[in-house]
Amino acid sequence: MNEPDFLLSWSGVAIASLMILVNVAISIALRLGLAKSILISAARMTIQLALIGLVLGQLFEIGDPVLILALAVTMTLIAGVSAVRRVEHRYRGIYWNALFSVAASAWIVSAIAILLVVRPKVWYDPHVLIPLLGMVLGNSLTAISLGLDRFLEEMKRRRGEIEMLLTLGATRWESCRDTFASAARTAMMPILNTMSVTGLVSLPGMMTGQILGGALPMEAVRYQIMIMFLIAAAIAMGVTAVLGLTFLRVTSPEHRIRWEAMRKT
Amino acid sequence: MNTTPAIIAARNLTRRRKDGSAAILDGVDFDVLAGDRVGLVGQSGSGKSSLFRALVKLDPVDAGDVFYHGKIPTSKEIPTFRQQVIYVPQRPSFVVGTVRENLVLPLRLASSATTSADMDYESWLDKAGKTNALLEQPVESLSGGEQQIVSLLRAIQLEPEVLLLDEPTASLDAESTNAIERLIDNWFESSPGHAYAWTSHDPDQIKRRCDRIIQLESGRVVSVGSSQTTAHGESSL
Repeated sequence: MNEPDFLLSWSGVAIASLMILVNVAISIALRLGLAKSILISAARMTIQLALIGLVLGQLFEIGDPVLILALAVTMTLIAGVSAVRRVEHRYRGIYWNALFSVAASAWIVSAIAILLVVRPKVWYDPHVLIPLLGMVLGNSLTAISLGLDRFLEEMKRRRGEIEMLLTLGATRWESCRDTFASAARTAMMPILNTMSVTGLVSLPGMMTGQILGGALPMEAVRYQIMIMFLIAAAIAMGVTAVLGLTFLRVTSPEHRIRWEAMRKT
Repeated sequence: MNTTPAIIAARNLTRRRKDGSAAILDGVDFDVLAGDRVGLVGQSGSGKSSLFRALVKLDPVDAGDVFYHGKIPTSKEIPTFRQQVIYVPQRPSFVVGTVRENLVLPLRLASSATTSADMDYESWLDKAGKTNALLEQPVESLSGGEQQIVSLLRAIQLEPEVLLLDEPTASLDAESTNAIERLIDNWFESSPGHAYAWTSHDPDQIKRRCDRIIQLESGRVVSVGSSQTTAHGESSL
């Protein structure tokens, strides 16, 4: 790694943080009523990142696998809960299903990346495990959230069509297949879009960070390509899992939709 | 299959509301035999549609069973059962597309693999006073009567034993009502094994179309009679 001849200081960060005032000004001028939530979100983001910086600093120094795993588990739990937060229709067990899907997809993909791709000296090397898992979790939870919301919303909206198919002899899967596919498409669309314009329109955050931190562009690119594949795989697995579990929960083996199990928040 | 004459026999069908107030279905017994033309009457909310939905297991019940030829269909048999006992709702649903695309929809289902449905849509449309130009029309452009005709054809082509007709002619003009009645008669008369149950708010239509009339009130069967007896005012239609 080349040492860059510049260094981002906290006073630099403070200047950057003033830019949030642009958002606040626009919100006030247009009466969007968002000023308060913009400031709260900004404060949360800053505090959360500062805390994780402190935690990571400590963790890297101690290198205790138990602590590293504890952090990984905490991150996963938060991702699971967050995946449901913006979903409008709920059913009992939705949190468990989201958590399972986020966890299984992110951990399987991260394990493959660590053990077969990056191969650090120790598998729990926090320099590898935490950022990798974090990237995968963050993307997976967004996709799961999108897919869940779309699936339940579409089920409700297409109730007439779904029941029509059932009355004409469709199995529960046949009656929901289109809705399932549409939800899966919605969930996977963002990562597909991102993959197709990456490098042309945007330089992804991780790569930008590495280059700013002094990494060679090609090295940063290699990591970025790897992480994109990991994210895409995790999203596919996580979305399929959460939609599959949801399908089983909101339909019954008697080929009936359990409308009574779904409720609006 | 055993020798029970009933095609469908519901026993003690009960469905309670979640809040514990009056039941939606309260111990309903209901049989449909081959050749039956059953009228189901009662005010809105008396449980007519709920009974149909429970019969084809679209809704859960808290108690009671539905027998099909003397046997409770297993989970696996339910799709096939639903092609033999078809619930035709008051407001038909379609997928976006032409009439033809909607008609062939059920033929692609796994449970249709055994039916040799190869319907002559043209002659059936002719019976309903329509030409086959209707087949290529988008369903969104259909009138209420045409929608009901398409919904019926979609069901009839599967050669069901029983049709559960939920207000099939509600809010339709006389011409559409006639067309729909003709279609149903044609299907009904095509086999002695066919039967239907019909709900309507029109007492005359029920008397005309049904041999047996069942009245529901708050989810209970309150009277059973022939259209003859009810015609003489022994039942409050």
